[in-house]
Amino acid sequence: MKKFLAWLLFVILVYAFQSSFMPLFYFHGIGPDLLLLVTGSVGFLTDRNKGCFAGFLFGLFEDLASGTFLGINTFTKMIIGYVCGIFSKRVLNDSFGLPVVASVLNTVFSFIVIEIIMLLLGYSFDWLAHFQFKLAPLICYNLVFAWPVHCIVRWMWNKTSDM
Amino acid sequence: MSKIRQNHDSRKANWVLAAVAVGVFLLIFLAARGTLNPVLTNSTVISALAPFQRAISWVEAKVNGAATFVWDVTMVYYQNNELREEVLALRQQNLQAEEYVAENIRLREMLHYKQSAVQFDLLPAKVIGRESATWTSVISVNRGTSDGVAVNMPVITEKGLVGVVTEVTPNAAQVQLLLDSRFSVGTLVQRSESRVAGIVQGNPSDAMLPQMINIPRNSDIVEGDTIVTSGFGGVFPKGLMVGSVASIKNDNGGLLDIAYLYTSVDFQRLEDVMIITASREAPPQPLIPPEQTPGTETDKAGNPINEGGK
Repeated sequence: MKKFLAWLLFVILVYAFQSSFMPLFYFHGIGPDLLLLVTGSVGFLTDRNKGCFAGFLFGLFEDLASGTFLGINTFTKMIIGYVCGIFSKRVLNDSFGLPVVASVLNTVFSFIVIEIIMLLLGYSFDWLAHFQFKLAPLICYNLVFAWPVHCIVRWMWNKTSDM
Repeated sequence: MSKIRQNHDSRKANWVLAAVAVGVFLLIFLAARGTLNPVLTNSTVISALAPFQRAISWVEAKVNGAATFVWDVTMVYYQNNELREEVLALRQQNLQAEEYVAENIRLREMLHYKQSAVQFDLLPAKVIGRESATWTSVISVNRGTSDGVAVNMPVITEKGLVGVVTEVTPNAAQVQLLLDSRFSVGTLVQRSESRVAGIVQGNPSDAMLPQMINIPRNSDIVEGDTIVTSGFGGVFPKGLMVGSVASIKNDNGGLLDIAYLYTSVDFQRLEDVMIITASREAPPQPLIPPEQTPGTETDKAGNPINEGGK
């Protein structure tokens, strides 16, 4: 229970930081998706089941907090947590390249899935413009924050593993 | 046996996860159409999140304030530099505009004079040099023989006599000023009841106050009288303004008076002048018929016309 509360507080802080502090550095309304990076890192540090569960909870929390389409972040983040969890035993968790490369792939995957869901919901938009003005800056931001977020998550994981 | 069980559990977990994923996927569409009301509403999460957001927002505001301050100071620095350059450029521009305005006023006055002085052929010229050691005596102008300038041509401004051309080259000329001690011109008092004649020449003691000599002691010249050229000698046309009497003094011999003059031309600000290339007699004033004395009217044949037809 303590572990759960600690992670809940951590996620709340990360989301509050993302929504209240990061707008300072937004580029055309686009900023880093810190919870996506946290989900990926948790997946790498645990396994696919726990990664998937963490992604589910983080995504649900984000959906409820941001007021977006309910389930949209839940769905993408649980898949990302699951996929990253598959690689947890095959890669070196301390490597710099892992979270950085994964952040790009996760961002692209999450973006494309959300775009497809939006299309299925009946929304129409310009794909190229979205790639240029939304995905490109999002990838850049996530690249910058991937390694620091991974280090913080790893520190958090080590702290709560004894609980 | 345990490995088979582990595989079985893993497969079961995968099926559960797949079912959850499909369930969440369907949830998106149900929630988007508004047919689903979640147990844990947005407001619950938002109110739990609010204190943290408020705290971080406060930090963000402080960081933003500090960053804005630094940014503003940097911007002020660069803007200050830009504005300094702009001020310099505008000062230069302003100076040039003032120069144009002054030139415009001078040229207007010259044009006005040229239009009124129809008896003269005037050639406008710019002062391009002054004798640095004796600048009150000689100036150079940008007109020469190629413009029709010749020695002994009078030089004037719209305010009066400046001097006379003494040296000419194809593109420039030297003008001896009225202030030069070597200069002399025949003059007279403009006042109609006086008309006293004399010679104006440069004053070696005070270059800015030329003197009018050869004035008979019993003449009625007074301070403030206007002095004009007399036309005697043939070099200077008659009627050019020379100056006004500043003071009158007895000559050393005691038989003549000397009048010191304020020049009508400001020699300190001499920039544009006019050279009189030709002059002729001023056209006569148009005749104005005298007023008819009442009772002296005549008809075309010269017979007096009586009032009332008597």
